[in-house]
Amino acid sequence: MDVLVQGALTSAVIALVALGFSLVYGVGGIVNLAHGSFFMIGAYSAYAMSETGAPLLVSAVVGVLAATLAGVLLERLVITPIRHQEVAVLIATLAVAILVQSGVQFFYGGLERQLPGFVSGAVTVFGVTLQQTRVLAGLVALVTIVTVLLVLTRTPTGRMVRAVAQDEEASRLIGVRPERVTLYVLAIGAGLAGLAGVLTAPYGVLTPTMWLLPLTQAFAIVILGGLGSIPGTVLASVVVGFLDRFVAFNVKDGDIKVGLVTVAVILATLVLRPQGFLGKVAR
Amino acid sequence: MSSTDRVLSVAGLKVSFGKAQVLDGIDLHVDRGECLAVVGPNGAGKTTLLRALSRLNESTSTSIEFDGKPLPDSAYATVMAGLVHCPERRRLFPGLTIRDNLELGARRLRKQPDTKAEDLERVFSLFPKLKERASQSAGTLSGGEQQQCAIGRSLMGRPTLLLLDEPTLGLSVGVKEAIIGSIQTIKDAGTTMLLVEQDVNFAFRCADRVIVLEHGQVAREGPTAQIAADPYVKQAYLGVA
Amino acid sequence: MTSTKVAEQPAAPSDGGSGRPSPLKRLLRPNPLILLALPIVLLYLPRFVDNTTLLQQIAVATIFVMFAASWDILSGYTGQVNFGHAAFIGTGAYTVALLSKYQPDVSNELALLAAVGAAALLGLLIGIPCLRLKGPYLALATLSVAGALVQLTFIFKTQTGGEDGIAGVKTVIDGSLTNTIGEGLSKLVLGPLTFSGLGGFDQYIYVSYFVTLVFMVVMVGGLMLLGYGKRGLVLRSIQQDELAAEAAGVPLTRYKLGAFVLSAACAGLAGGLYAQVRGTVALDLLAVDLSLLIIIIAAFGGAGSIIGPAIGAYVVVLLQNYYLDRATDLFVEHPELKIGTFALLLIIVLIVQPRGIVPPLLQRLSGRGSATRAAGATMVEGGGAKP
Repeated sequence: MDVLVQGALTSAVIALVALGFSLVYGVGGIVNLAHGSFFMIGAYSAYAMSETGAPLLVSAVVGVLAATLAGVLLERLVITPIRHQEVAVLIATLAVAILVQSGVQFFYGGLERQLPGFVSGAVTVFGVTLQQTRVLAGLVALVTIVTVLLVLTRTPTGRMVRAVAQDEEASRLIGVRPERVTLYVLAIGAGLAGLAGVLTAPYGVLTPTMWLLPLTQAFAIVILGGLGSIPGTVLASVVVGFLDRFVAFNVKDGDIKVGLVTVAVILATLVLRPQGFLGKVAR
Repeated sequence: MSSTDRVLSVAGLKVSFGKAQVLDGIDLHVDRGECLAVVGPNGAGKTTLLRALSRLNESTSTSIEFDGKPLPDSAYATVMAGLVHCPERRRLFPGLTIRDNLELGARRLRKQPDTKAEDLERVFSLFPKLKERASQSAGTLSGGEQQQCAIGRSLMGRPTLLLLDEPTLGLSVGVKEAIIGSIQTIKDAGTTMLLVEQDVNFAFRCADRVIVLEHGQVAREGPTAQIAADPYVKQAYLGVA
Repeated sequence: MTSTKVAEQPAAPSDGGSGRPSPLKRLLRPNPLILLALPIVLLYLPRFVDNTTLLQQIAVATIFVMFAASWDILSGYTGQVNFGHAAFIGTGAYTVALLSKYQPDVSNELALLAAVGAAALLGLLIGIPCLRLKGPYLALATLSVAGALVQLTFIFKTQTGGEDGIAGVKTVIDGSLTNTIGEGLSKLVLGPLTFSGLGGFDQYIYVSYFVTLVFMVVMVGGLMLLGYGKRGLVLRSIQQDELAAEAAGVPLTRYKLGAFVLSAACAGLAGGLYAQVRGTVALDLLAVDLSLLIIIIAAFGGAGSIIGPAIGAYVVVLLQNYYLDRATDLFVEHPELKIGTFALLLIIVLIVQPRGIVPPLLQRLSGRGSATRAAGATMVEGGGAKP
């Protein structure tokens, strides 16, 4: 039961990061190695605001906005000029990730930091005792994910985004500007990752290298679910989320082995089914 | 003929891919309400011509006037100006429903009074099959239905000029006939068309005028009857000695 | 989706679309005189430069030359860009360090061999699933494997020391082969009396300097012979067009996997040697920062030419470890800003002119002989097509 409840909460947060990563690939054909940095920017910006004495809610909002802004800047300044050179985009976005890492280290040092919890104490759900911050994070993430999915599937805007992902050129012929859609999706994806960073900041730890694990997990999810597939991303998030918590609970020193298991999932999937397990399902 | 009746006039259109000159100085014009067909062998540059006009391909030209103004440079702006391209191989959004596909075609009119429902009814009455399957995803349609959906999607944008690329490609004879019928209906309703077609007989049935494109240049041009009677065309395209 | 090598960009337009694999690269083949002059200059440099701090950093840079060259034989040649080269380097370094810590009887030479073996094995393990991968998948897979290794060091914290790493690794002085090479060359260049008169630490620096130089010349020389030979052309043909290469009879699997393993083995050797030069290993040998630094070096030097990244390594590493520290105290107090600065520069270069800096430079140095080279290449490649 522990694993089930915790797994669900973790899945939602992970999906928050992975969805943006996957959408940006689907819509713009861009694999953004700086995606994990949005997670970090969200967390550290919220932390920086709370240090100045700002209310936590304000800090959280600032964190999300900062990540979104970072997404816009990344798209405009770095990705747009080299959009059609796949390898250049990969290298440039990795360089951005390291740049952000070195910036964070410059301002905050390598020490671990933590954001105060939005709520404190524990709550018992289905007989499982949980930290309230984790529950809050999971619930907010869940609501956000559902909202994003509804927007994608039920609104004209979402329809347009999916159209670009399915056939960029055809979308051009009906008067869509894929470049703009990519910018919006990247900005929103960055905001979602930033939100995940803010939500996990009270119970995770903030370090300058914290961007790598969410990026790896997003990659594992996208590989499992198929690059660019929305249902695949959601489903794979659940798999990786549960795996994450399962390992954390059942293996000695599980918490530090999570990343290892994620990489094992990646490599296994790549060997068994390189197009992902849901790669061909309609997106 | 007054210039206001001229929807499109192209002068000196050139497209090259690397060293290959695919279009080498094309001049053509389309008048309001008429259907101009472009025929020619594979690789003559027919599709490239349409892609250049809808600004999917880079091109150079002396001038391109569309609807009394210079044709804009970006794909987006040409669509907004009313030049709508129904591409080769349908290019539907396979994961979206037919209704979604059609409604997306109306994006160009989103800043104008809403005519979507009205236009949707028109498309559905033209292609009743699409109405039946409106909530199926477009990827599940047969080839002919996909073509209907693609044409319908283009019509939803109320095009000033409709570029139609190979609408009968890969279809069986019966399905082809149905598509030809609906294209004639669309033309009779007053839509100006630039039709690219490999099936010369079909092109001659729909077109008011015909251009024969060979090696990136205009080889013949004239009213349909004149082109159809041309001995060269007869020999090369109609298989008549 | 075709992935285009960044540093390859200028190749396509400059050859007028004749379709031959990157003639710029062959143009780039540097003048043999310059190539011979470089090691000799480096060899006799210590006679004229007695700044041991600088010499020590040149030795480190020489190791990075090997890192970059071993990266290039895989990534620059076959276009399978490795974003986690540190995984191989770190594996080699940690193998040497762990052996030194737990099996001090194992000789340094054997430890280096073990480093090569361990890294090659890892290369094989990663290479197999990555065989079918291109561009983004490969990038993310290699990046995550390096990340996983960092976590492994935390899991085996008692053995690897976690964040603190392992100190007291047996150094080049302790190895009979390395010490012989180092001492021999030191005495040759400095004169036996001068060398014997030096303090222990200075001797160690000179030995490190010459040992790394010898290893580097052998490795880079070998990789260049390979890269500019028939096999190099085959590797390039994989990058140009994998399907066409396979249709022409190139045993793709063998070559791709071979490049992966060779790249890993060379990186493992260089990493192991680095451990013996530093006497310590730590997480910086596995970090993404190191992987990126190698890409930065290759990008600035121009990937796919071996010599380009090699020169790039001297420039970048000496800047990083020596000149930047002397330029402003900011970099001394905040060493993390150095990689940040390089990352920023890389981003700017990629945006402004994605072709690297050294290739055009070298092109000017050696602009002749391309026609014969191209003709020869045609024959060689024809031969290479039949395995």
